[in-house]
Amino acid sequence: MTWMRTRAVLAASAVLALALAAPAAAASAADDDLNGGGDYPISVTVTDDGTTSPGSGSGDGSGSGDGLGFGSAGDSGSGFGSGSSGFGSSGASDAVDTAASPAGSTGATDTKTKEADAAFSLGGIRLGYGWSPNPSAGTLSTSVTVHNGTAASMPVTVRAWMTGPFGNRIGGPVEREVVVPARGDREVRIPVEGVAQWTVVTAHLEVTPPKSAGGIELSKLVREQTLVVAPWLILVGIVVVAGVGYPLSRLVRRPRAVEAFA
Amino acid sequence: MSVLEAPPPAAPENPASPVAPDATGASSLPPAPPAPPRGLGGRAPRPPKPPRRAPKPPVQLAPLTPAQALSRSAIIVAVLLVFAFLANVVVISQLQHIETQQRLRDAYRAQLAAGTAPVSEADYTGKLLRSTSPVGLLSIPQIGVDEVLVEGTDANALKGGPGHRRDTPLPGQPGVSVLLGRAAAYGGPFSHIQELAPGDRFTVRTGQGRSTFEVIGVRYAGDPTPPALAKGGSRLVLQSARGPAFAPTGVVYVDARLVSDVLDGGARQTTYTSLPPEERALATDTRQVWALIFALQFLLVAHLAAAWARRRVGTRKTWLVGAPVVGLAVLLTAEQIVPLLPNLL
Repeated sequence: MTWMRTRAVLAASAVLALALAAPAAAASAADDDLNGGGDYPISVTVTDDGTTSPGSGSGDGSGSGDGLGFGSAGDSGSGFGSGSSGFGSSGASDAVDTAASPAGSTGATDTKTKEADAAFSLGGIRLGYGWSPNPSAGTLSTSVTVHNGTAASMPVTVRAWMTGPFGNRIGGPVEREVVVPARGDREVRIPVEGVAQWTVVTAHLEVTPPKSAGGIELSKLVREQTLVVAPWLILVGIVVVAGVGYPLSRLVRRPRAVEAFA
Repeated sequence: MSVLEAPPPAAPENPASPVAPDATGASSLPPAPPAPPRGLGGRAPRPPKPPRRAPKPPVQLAPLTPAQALSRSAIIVAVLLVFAFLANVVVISQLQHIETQQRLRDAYRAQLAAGTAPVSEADYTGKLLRSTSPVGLLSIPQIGVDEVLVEGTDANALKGGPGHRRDTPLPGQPGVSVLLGRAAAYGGPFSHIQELAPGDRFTVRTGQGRSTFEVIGVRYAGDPTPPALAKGGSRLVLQSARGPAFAPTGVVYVDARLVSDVLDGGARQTTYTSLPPEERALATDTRQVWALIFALQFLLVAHLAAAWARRRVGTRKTWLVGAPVVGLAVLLTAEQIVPLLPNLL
């Protein structure tokens, strides 16, 4: 009788659990329709004939300064199809990169549009960790690619430093001046010493171009990237403590009182 | 703490007849004790070893008051939830991402084969695409990205893969397309987009064909912007979180220009102003808090049922049935917490 009662209790628990799990699982199941559309109640009619003007439906990037980030403050020359402003204008409406003016096209089909090149841009931010037997040392190798879209070579200053998990500066700054060829890229690598046992390291790269290049006003850019580094001294310490601690504990807990029985 | 005591000195075998010295002054040997019984092998069985330590008396804990028992249960559930949340975000979410990508890839491959892959905000039947519908294939070999794009950019949609923002055209179509991707959880497909260098090329495959993009540069909010897009031109912006993993400090943008042919534009019903705030970068989604409440209720009921069953049917049976149920409830609750976090996490 008790067994029957137990089974009934367990069965009731299982049914109750499944019943309560259903609403919570419904939210996840709602996203599982991979066929697109499904029985979604909203129905629209596609009226596009392939001549939609650029950005007609987005409403974004037309000087709002939000979302896309296009059209920073004062960039009156922004907006799709309204010409091209220089990359790096930072609000200067007269900074027009006329040399790289796009071909422009009214049609949207079968058109290979050449877009204006950026006068100055960054990318390729990579970090690497160089181990050192000195626990208070260690190298963080930083790398950044600088792009010069102007018709003249561009001298830039790259400054690198790094901070720890609390925002404390732990290395650098290290400066390096390079010249980026006209309409070309240059990868700049800067090692920064002092990673030590800081586990979360953030590298900061500040690239300062000339104030203007090819009639385009430029401003310095700062990039940052975070790297997690294994604190080898702490890990070794843990292993050593564990390795020594076990035999030590066996030694301490040895039954010395047995001698009293002998 | 137990204290070992030395055994008392052995008593003489026969205290009534102490050993008396003989005439020579030497004491005679005491009589030999009786031989112990021998075993089958002819060897005497060994006496049991004395214990190394005196056994500790069993610890008798004072019974908890109802308030203490409730507090203990609450703390245990809270700790379970924290660990389940961390396990969900760090480990389980990666597996979910792999599984979802596989299903999305299968579905999108079938759509491409059937010629029904979406090219606008609606599907081929004219119905608006729902979130998590596959809309393209993104391939960035420089950073190891090969992902199926989904429609929508809220927290739930981005669990499956990089999301296409609804108010922007599909990649390759005229205008600026925006793709958002997570930086750490659920595969973190955009965790390395800062490593893209100017000039790097990658492709996006949609229902209209393959489009090739070239990276212009990496940008942060507030930085100078790229040149305005020419009429009829196409550009792609990748967005993700920057800063330490699981602790975003801002948004990183990667601008890329289209270097292949511009494709036909598709109709868009959603505009930037009508885009739900939950679909914007680093937005949180509180629309499904009800699911979290249901999950918490489920967890509470499962916990109470386990406590009740332990008294009625015993600890073993309760563990057998209750542990999976409580585990499921904890994971469901942790899953519902994720949308409350930034969608680019």
